[in-house]
Amino acid sequence: MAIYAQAFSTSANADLGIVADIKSAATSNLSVREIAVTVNTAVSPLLSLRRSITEFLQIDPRQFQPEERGDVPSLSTMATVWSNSPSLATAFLRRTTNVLGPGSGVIWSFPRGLWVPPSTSLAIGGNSLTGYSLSVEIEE
Amino acid sequence: MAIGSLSLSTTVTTIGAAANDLLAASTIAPRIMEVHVNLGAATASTYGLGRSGNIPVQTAPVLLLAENPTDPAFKSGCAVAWTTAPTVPANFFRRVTLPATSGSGIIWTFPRGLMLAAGAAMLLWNLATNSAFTNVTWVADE
Repeated sequence: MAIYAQAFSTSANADLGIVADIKSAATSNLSVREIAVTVNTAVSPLLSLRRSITEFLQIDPRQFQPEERGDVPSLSTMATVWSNSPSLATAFLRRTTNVLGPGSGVIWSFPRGLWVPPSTSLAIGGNSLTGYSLSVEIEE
Repeated sequence: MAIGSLSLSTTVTTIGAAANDLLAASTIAPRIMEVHVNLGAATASTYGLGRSGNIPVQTAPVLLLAENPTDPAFKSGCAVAWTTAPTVPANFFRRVTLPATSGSGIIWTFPRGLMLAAGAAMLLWNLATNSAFTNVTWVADE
């Protein structure tokens, strides 16, 4: 197992209210260690975390980067655009309402890992159309 | 032992009533690892975390979600309404007053676990007339 990270800015998808998904490869699990989300403008979205029910078909996926040089490339990816409209579980793993203000946000940590089985995703939700800054660390 | 979590929004604003609970199954004693409380409305709110004085009967409970989906399904469940309402804790483990700012909140952590006896309930209790929309997350080892 090795530690990987990915960080970037994005906007919420207008149709789904999903900021990004964290997807495991078809051949391996991933375990999320930490998710940090902040907003770039003065909005107060409800941030959330749910599992996918149907598979996210990612467009232009971003591969996680190894934190230690020499580790093998990650197979897990994140994306902000999808070619389908995947369905999500009704129950939430996390929900947080943001304080109104740019830079506000949350860090969710999972000391024992939040597992994502092969070809499934965790969806980071945000119901304001704004820029979001994401930092995600996983173990794979 | 496995980690499970669940996030619900509460709607009970009444002072001297439970806003949310985690009820252990009669056969298992979970350890609470984290409780997150986060206001979704701009209402100054005061909460306490304590053991229920009775065994409540939940309405439409939702079971904790396994953080590793290969773990067995969890038996402890959360609710925001009850047919037998929880009664006031004798004492509180934690108390907090949150400002009238939507998005304010607190995360209580219990590195060695706050033990909940089998069949017993832990409450998030309204110590004031509280926010009508509060996000509450329970993380437990069961």
